[in-house]
Amino acid sequence: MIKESDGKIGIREFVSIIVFSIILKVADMTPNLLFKEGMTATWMMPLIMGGYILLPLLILLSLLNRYKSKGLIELIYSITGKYVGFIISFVLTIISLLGTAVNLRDQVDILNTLFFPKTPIIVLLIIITISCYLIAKRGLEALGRTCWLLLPIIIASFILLVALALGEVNLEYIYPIWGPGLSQLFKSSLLHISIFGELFLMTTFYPFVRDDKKYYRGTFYSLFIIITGMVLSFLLYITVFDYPTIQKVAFPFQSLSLYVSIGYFIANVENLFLLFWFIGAIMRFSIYLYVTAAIFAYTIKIEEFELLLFPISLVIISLALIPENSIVAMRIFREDYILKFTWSIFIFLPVFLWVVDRLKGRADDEIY
Amino acid sequence: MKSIVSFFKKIRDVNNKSTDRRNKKELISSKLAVNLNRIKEIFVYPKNQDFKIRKISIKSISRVGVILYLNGMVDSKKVEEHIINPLQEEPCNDEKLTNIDLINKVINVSIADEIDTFQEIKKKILDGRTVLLVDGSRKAIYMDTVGFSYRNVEKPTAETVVKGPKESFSESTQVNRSLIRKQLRNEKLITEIMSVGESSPLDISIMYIDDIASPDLVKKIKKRVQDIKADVVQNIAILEQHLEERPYSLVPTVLYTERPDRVAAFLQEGHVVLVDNSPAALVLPVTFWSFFQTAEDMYQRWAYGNFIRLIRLLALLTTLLAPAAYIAMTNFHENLLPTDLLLAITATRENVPFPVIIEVLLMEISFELIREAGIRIPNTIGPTIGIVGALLIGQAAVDANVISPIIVIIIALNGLSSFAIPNTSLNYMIRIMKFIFSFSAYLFGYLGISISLTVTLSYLASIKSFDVPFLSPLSPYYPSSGDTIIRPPVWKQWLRPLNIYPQDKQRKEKVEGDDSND
Repeated sequence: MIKESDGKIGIREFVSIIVFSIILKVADMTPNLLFKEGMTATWMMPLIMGGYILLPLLILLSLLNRYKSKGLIELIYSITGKYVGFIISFVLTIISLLGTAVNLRDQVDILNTLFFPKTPIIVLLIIITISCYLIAKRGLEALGRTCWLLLPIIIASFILLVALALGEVNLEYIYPIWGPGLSQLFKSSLLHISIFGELFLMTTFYPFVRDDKKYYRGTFYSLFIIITGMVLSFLLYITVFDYPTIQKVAFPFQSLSLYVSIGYFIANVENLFLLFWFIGAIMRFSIYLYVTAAIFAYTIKIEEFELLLFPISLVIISLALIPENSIVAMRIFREDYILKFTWSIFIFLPVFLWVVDRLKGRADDEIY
Repeated sequence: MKSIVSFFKKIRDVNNKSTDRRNKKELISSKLAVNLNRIKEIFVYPKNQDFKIRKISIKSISRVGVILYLNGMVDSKKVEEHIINPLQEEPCNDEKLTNIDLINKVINVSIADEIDTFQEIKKKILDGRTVLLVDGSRKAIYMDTVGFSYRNVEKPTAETVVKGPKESFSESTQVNRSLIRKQLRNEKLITEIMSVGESSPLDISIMYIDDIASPDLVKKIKKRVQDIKADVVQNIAILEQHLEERPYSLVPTVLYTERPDRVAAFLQEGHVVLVDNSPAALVLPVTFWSFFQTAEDMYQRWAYGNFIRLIRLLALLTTLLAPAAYIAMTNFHENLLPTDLLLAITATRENVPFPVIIEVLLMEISFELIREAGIRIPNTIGPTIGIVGALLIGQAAVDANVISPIIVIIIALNGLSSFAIPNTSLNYMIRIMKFIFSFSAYLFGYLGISISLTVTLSYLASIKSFDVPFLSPLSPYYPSSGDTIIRPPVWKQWLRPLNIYPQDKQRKEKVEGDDSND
């Protein structure tokens, strides 16, 4: 049934938001992290990660389905109670906050190195955060609609990039096919699972999706799009740049877009890709900012969480300024602190919630 | 001190009195002389020479009456032939005849009815009607004798088409409504009349199709019209500004159109239309696509219509982005330009003393200047502007090394594109925004453009016109015929756009057909 716009988002907008929040990781420094572990088989890692998160995600979704009209944080509170709930939610807030800050720093470092060498990092940080704040302030509806508008353009430009890069591809570069060996591949995939963490964090907005039956479908659609996109781009990186050269390429996506051209005359198609990459990145951080504010607001139980956007923006800017340079930001902060710490949360939190829920008694009539 | 207090008290009293008078209904008495005096007082007679009082003796009831009208507002021939003549001449000598009988038997005017307050008399006379007061009656009769002068129906000036109807609205509600009804012969097409403005009310016809337009929407629009607190609303262009939800926003949320055929098309989709004595109608609610599309897109065949739409989309993007992209490329991203092109640009800029942003602003502002001058200039000296403009912008400025030739190309292209944006409001919006885009490109190159673009898009996505999301049915998605950037063939447009919440969702049954050409 057609409803007037009621502050909720439809399935299309929801899928677009999730896709935007994750897929653009192929264009920042995430590939560098993964190629270090996965070598020539890095393109399999998204598939393996997808397999890993399937079960926890299903558990979480079934819990959300049982506790109707509750988002992730409200669910945590109602299952684990006031104190434990607060601790878990607060940890999630911190994860979201740090993740946003470090990813933002990643982005700014790329911008700084490639396009704005003379602009101070803090200026770039501020300008991007301000624009993300302006976008996030328009609310979830606007975020979803904008993503849905931009998604076809981003996908089309990605397909164009793949098509153009096909000429540079050398399929033999993917051998040895198992890279570092299967066991190593499975292990490092597990450790980097928080690349897909937004899928979990996004369940905060479960009550805001118009049709909760479609939430399942939406999640899997977006998972499908993300995994396909990641596998394709990692395949492209490895077959164009080869291993171990890929480790020396600081920014695979940007380098690839510089690499390709349409014939001799139009040699500068990167104009197009850059524009879309910028747009995508801004959307992505607007979503992160919004999610962080939402999680924090639910944690401390504030209704009007759009007021929190501004202070959180400030916190994100200051956090993003902590790493001294991009290597520190990526290798130490992102890899050692965040990724290695958070994978377990995304795997075990849903299981933990499910077990607690089970112990409390499923047939409990209190649950509505 | 006391005097001040009493002064304010007086003001308050006066205010109260005037509002009292406005709200109170004054009934007509049965004495003609009393009524006449009150009316003379209202219309400042005999000072006001346009107000006419004509005493007549009504033969059919053997009583005295008075005919009142405003000179110039009524068709005096009509008054003579159809009101004065029959009243004076038809003998019936039946004193029991009432006003109703007078209307039914004597007066030969198509619209006539009884009224019983002075407020109504005032309103009717101001609207161009003739009012008859009969001695001994507590009711007056008004008769429709409107005779304003107005333009003939002419060709549209702002929304011209090559193929399709070439009529535009004129300065008469009657004519405008008839133009709409001519295009849309639907028994459910409803006209409701509301008046706006307190001291000189403006009658607005609200038109919609009863079984299509959403009742909530109609109610909301009527309420909005009712809530307008203005002394005078002169015409529909002012009304547009009273109705819109975001007075400071660059984005228009009401469509102002001069084409009856477009109005008919909108009515069929479930929109509501406001008409008055203005050479245009207002359509609400609207979406971005209403501003972007023209009537001709539909009248031309599928391929041609879509072709002109794509050209227009290109024009829109060029207007918005061309100067900004030029600034970004020359200031920040030289390496992204092909080397030959970069050399060509640098060579032409060698002698120019200004930075690119100054150059662009200089040219943009002079172009806007020519544009504005072109509209304001008296017709007789119009052609001069072209010559002066071409000389000033083109040859002289380049020869004097003030600007580089390449900027002339960019601005000319930009100007040309801006003329292809069909709607005046959208045109202004894009033209103002191009300055914002140029400036952000000057600050941060491509990043600046991307930021402006994304913020603009998210703003457009978030706003609503009377509860209808501005970019719907594209985003958020609603089932529709897909008539947004491009359109499907006419026979495939069997679904009404559901973002307007129509009661009846289908125009016709879905046509089962294939796309093959045989």
